[in-house]
Amino acid sequence: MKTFEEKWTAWLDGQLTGRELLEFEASLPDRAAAEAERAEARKVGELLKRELGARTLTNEEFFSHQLRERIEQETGERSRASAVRRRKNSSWWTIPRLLWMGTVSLALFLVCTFLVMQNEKPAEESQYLTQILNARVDPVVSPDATVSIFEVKQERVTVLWTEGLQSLPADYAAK
Amino acid sequence: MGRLSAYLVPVVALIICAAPEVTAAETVWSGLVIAENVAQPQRIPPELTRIEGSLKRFFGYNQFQVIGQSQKTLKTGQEDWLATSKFFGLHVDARGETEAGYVLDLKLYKEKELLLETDAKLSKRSPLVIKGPQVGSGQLLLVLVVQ
Amino acid sequence: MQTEATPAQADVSELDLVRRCQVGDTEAFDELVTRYRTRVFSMIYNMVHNEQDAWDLAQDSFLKAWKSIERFRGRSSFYTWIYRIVMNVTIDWLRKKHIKGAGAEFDDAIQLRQVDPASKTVPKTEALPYEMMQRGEIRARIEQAIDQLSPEHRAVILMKELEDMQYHEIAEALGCSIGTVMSRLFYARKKLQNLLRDVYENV
Repeated sequence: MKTFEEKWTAWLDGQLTGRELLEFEASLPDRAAAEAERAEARKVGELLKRELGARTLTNEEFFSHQLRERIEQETGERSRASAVRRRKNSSWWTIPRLLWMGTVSLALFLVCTFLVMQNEKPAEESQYLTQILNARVDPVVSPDATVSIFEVKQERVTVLWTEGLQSLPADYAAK
Repeated sequence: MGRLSAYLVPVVALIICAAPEVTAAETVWSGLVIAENVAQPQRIPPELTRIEGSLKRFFGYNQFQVIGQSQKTLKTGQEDWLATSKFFGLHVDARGETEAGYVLDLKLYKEKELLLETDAKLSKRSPLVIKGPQVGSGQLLLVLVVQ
Repeated sequence: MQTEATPAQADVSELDLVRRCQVGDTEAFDELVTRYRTRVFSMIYNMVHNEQDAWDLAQDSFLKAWKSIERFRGRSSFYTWIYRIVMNVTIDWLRKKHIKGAGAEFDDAIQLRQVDPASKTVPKTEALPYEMMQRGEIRARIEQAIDQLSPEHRAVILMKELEDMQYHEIAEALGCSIGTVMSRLFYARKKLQNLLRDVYENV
């Protein structure tokens, strides 16, 4: 089921059709305001398209040339790496020996890790309290709003306390 | 094949032993809560049990009901999610993890209207409670907890 | 100068080019780069706002595409596939830049302030009268506004508004769901509306 944000976006982009469109438009509390908001959002899109547009890649041919060189270098390095691997495989370090050594090393590492972790006290909580870095209330919507921060260190609870937000009817408590 | 099994069995066994010690990704619970005073309060939701005392003392209410919630497991620490009720939406945008906690950008919407925006570092085992607007005779609270 | 192919021809010739790349034909890859380099560069530039960085990231993206071309199965268009790589490279770079503290968007010291107890709300930035804004300034304001979006929100708004990509194409490029794309568009548009109202209302 689409969220309000998804339906709004689809409506804005003209992607809602048929019954979904009718239902959505009927659910809008203020159709005129919604249309105005849609017009604004479209203006943002037009602004971006007009002002940003396509950025020219100056010296395009040099871009491709540089990329070709990097690819050649990359391909050359890979061939050299394969050749080195092939040479190495004919030495004392055969695959079975490498596998055995790797397995033993891994096993030893896991044993040590397991033992060390068993001895450590498990961390229950971070030493840090939650911090509020910034808080903003729309001054147009709530011109008299204020914000405060409280930290209850003992119980490790941080509270962002707002005052002056517009009160709402009980209907807004609906799930 | 026999020799291969001899290598693999101890490795697998050790991996299994070590597995419980691997740290799981953390889960953040975000809740929209209506706090109010009623004659016969309902039991507090389990997500709020740990901070029940703080909530009651701070806000002076005896009942807390969850009207919208979301649980998000953070794997990269850069996910975003929404907790919604019929009229409210709490958008949480996690922007990374530091030693002090998850850096979050929180936005509270009432339908399409942005009521409040805040940036916070949510620490593990240190819940964040945000007092929202008055709703009827109660109060909207936003609660975020790393579980 | 290349002759422009019809859409059907482009798809066929593109698949052919990709198949040739998959057997190591660098000339075929060169052809694909020629087709997409400007769009890729432009897209990255609009994300990072620096020519040198955009150049380097575009190079890295194409190099990554070359290295993983065998994995392209033709289930999406090549264009969408390469955009996925471009977005991964660019978003990773932006995130690393943020962690190193060079990024303006998430820099606590610049953007974010402690709120004094019982203080009034933080006032919004004052808008410049349009009459004072030259074209360059408008662009700078737009770039500043985009900088305030997270990398993922930047990506969706630019892909939608500049590239005119469909929701499913954006979702594929970013490796997320269509619902997430639509939700991010909602918030990105909201934020840009707030930040650029004085600009677009006066244009």
